[in-house]
Amino acid sequence: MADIRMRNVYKSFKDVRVIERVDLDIEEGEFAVFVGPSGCGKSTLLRLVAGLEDITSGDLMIGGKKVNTLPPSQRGVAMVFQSYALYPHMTIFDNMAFGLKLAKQQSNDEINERVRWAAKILQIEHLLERLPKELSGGQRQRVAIGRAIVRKPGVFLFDEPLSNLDAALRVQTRIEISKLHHDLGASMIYVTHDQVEAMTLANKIVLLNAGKAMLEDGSIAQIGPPLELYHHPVNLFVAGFIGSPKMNFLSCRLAKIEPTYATVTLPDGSTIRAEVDATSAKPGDAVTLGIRPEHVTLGTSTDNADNTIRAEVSYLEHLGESTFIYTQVQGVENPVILRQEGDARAKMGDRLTLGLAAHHCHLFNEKGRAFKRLIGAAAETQPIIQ
Amino acid sequence: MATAEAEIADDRLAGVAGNLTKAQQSQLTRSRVRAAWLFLAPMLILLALVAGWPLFRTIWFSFTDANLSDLGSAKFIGFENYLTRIDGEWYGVLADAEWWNAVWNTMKFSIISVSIETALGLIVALVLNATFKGRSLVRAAVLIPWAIPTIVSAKMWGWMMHDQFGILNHMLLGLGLISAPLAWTASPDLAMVAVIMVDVWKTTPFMALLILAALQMLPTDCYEAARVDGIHPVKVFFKVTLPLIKPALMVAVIFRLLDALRIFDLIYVLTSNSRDTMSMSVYARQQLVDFQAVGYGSAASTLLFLTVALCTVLYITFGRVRFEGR
Repeated sequence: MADIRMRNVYKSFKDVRVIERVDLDIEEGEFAVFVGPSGCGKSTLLRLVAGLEDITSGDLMIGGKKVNTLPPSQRGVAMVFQSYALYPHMTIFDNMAFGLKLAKQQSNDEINERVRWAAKILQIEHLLERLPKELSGGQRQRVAIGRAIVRKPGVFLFDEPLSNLDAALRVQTRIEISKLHHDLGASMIYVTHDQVEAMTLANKIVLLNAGKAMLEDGSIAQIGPPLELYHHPVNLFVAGFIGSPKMNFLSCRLAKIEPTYATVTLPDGSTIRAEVDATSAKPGDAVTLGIRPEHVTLGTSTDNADNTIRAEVSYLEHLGESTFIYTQVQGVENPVILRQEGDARAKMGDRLTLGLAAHHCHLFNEKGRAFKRLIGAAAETQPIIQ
Repeated sequence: MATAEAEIADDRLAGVAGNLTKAQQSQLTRSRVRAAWLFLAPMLILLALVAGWPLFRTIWFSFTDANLSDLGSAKFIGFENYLTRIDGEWYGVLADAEWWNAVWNTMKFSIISVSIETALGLIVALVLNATFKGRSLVRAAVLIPWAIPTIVSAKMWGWMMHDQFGILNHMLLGLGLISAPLAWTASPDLAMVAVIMVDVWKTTPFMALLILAALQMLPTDCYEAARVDGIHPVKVFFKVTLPLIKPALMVAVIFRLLDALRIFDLIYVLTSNSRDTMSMSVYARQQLVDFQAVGYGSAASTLLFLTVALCTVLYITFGRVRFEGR
């Protein structure tokens, strides 16, 4: 078990800057997920921790020891690769024991015992004598994880381990990895582009910027527990990345600013109240109103009869357990999406009144930075069991 | 080969035509098979003309007393060219000490040169597989010896090894490594060394190229996994790289081995009919052309053919070479 600290870490390949100004702490036993759009350098950041790439500048500490120049094997990390990286000519047992055998720190009996221990955890005991090519994708992934487990590392590194599996297996393996983290208690870093994996697995999400935002703001867009990123995104990028379908954004102008709320005017003239602290801005500023599809209500919203907009249904997506209604709001370019439980009765062309509850509204300034919401994350999570 | 392909075509067809009626299916299958044979026919005819017919003629001549000056009067004499007993003495190719000398020379040459070429080729391939500046230039440069026609490189080396005017002796004398010029191609001790040296120079690039192709197919993530596991690069080479390129390596070796067993041009140009380096091919040519004994020479050629075939079968059986890959 070990903690990981990154201080002012930069990485570039020749002239291409890939990782900018990363300051990051991952505590002992924490499950951190690196997530971001493709090309944001999340895999590179993981490979920096593993030691497969060199840090261009900055410091990396694992377990309190500076490891910038240490080879991967001396960092106390084990890595699970996206493509499994099993040795095709060795049996599953040999694949798992290979590193231990060559390290020659243990007797054959100890190695044998440890491989069987790991195989038992992952329920692959019956596969030990087979070759990788005789296994299914999910089984190979378990072997890859098993190979990491036998080394008993302080830190586990997962590089998109589930992206080669089918949907059902992905969910199952996701749960198993989460269980594994609980049982082993080791620190884990997990790279994915799938925000559902990020939300479900992480204690701490590290959302990374790509492209221009990375060069301007550094690689890290926001770090925090999953629900904090969901409820309190710091900017438009984070707000849009977390959640599916993504948050609705409506361009508008600030009308009135009070310490406990702000009022904005939409292009069609309607006014919406949002419970945010916009005192740093002034009336007339161009801002963006954000609200998640699951928070948009049909008809007038309960707490504020005025917080409504008129919209016309342009498209429907029936998922069975819910329906996504795409609507067109006058003067708003993108469709405003709302999520309704079950089969919504709306049809295309229907005119609807959408309720935007003030305490669910996000507001972002001209540069895309969020105004602080005046509502705690805890207040929005409804306890399941009482 | 042709039938195997037709069968594969058949199998595929059966899969595709799964939802057709039986009559339709069989009609379709028949026309597909007909088309397959039509496409294969030119190749089969050509092969029969340029490979099958000469082979058949050679085997036929080996059972006759044919003479180069008068092929028409050849009579069938059975196995006399191979082995026969006249007045208590054994005659025929198989009783000829010269033939067995040629067999021994060929085997020695093949095994030594192919072994060296494999080892050197592996090293060259590993170097070329690494990323460094100007790699493509070096790759092209390494191939040059292989691109030169054998006759040209053999003549070239013949001059370089010339006992009086050769640059090789000149350099070795200059360095003080030898005190008197060496007769590279004429001395019984050195002739085979010279031949092997030139062959290694010429065909190592071919081996390197085949092995390099195999190296470039290797999964890179295995090597990264090995790095994270802290496995020493030398161990990685023997435990991961070598087993993974073994199938390709075995195929490369058999290509070279077949080539080496029928070696002719290099030896003939460098050392002519010298007894010290005479290969099976050189022996057969000598009988056939110099001594005009077409029947006897054909018997030697047929034996050479059988030897190569036998070596291939043994190699594939014991080397467990799989051409189809995994």
